[in-house]
Amino acid sequence: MLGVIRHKSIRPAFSAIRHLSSAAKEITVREALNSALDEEMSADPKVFLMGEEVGEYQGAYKISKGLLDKYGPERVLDTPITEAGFTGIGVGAAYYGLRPVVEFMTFNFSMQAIDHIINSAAKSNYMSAGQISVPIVFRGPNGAAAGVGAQHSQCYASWYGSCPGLKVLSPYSSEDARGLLKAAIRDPDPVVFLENELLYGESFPVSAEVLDSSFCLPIGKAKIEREGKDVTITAYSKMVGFALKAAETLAKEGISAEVINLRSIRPLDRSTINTSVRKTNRLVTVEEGFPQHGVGAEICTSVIEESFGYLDAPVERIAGADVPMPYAANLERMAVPQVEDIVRAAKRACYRSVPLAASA
Amino acid sequence: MWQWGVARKCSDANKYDNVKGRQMLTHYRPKKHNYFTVASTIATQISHVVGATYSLKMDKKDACVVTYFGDGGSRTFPCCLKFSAVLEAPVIFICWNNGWAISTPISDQFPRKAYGVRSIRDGNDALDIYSAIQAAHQMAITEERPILIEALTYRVGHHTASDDSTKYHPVNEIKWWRLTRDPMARFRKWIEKNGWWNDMAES
Repeated sequence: MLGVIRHKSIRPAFSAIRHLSSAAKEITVREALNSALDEEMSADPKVFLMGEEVGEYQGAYKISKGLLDKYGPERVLDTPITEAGFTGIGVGAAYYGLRPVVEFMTFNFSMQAIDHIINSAAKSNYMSAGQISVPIVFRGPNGAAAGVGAQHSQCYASWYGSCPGLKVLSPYSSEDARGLLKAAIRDPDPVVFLENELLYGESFPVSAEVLDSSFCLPIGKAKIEREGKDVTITAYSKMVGFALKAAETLAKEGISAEVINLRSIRPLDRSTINTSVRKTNRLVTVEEGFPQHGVGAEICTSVIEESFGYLDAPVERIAGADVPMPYAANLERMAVPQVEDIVRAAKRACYRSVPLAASA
Repeated sequence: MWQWGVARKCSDANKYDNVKGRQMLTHYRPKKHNYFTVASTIATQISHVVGATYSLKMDKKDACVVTYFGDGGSRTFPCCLKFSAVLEAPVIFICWNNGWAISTPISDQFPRKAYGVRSIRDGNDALDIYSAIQAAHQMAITEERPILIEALTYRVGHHTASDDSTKYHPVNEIKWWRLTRDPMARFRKWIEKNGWWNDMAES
């Protein structure tokens, strides 16, 4: 191995792979989010949903389907197109004990309300020395969809991930969506919940445990989606699917890739990441957002700080192109990471390692 | 004056205050007194108050929420006023209108008529404001709707330490307001006239 090994006590990786029975049911991410909202609203009368189109229209992406009929307009509030206004109202309600779920039609529009999210929601608990908690969830689609241009396609994981006082979650599968949204709603702190429009219609197998109303996932814990020994690939949201496809391709070429679904951007599960890197000795980070100051950069730093001596190759960072998202389909494809990009990066990491004998 | 007493306990900005030095001097928030801080990002509390009122309403509490903001911080006000009316939220909005958003005059900001102001008061008369808020409190709760009080006043000091208000306020105008319209001096005159205060009590 290269360099001096710095011994740090890191808990062993927890593999959250579920051995689903053959009778496992499949549900879409949309259904998972809808059922999580429904169950939490049913369990706690202080939970309410607000945002554009959430009521009469059943949600811009039909996430809130059926909730207006079930809970009424007092708890499913259609708002004007004023993110700064309704987000602030949500924060005020949370100050006073309600548990709002604020939906943004896209997280790009949360920029209109970022003052409330950061200066009010995220900072109030600290600034009040713990007197005030702000149990609020900001949720909606984040990152690129298809053909919606620069102002609807940005990924805000690293923006919100850099702010103390917030928890930032980004689900991939139906299990993630259901378990993490429930955790977010129950949490006493503000949670930014970054969904993905293109995942809403995707189906994933879920166990009976996941479908149980008491099911909840821990915030701050990553999931090892696929175990491997040659290279670690970290990803979140839609990119987890791409990473898993890349791992299949790599397996055909004799490279065993371990795929980590981050689930939680803040807090980041550094332990699981570092434990994996100490096993595989190589790391590829994948994200859809911009490369500079990204989530991958933070993961890279964590590994350099805690597991540098274990690395047998430079860290590979896959991210979106450093340009605002283009509209044309061919340009858009070039601006977003693809499966083949991940495969190439993993190969580079694996073939670039220097045998110890050669380095002598 | 009660508020000032509470504020003193909460705004030392060191380990003795109730937030242990984590917040700026004037941003006190004693939760037990139902007092939430204003935000440094001007007037974000205008929307927070609507949410807080909605919470009280959901809990079926016979109460209302009061918020203060300056004429310069009214950017989200139209939306919040509309929203509170739609939600039938008992909010009292108090706009301290001192005529200026730092150096931008009121005439360049918003038309007062557009808001259907319920009550325009002398913001430098403590008794006038007290009676107006008392009436508004009853009205907001019984009628389940927002009330806007516009308190006309004047800023005799600078907006911040980095501002020089003499660049856009005539000095003699500032002096006139300080000498003739000072709310503390006027309140003192009133309590002295009623025999509740005198120079001996002052010393």
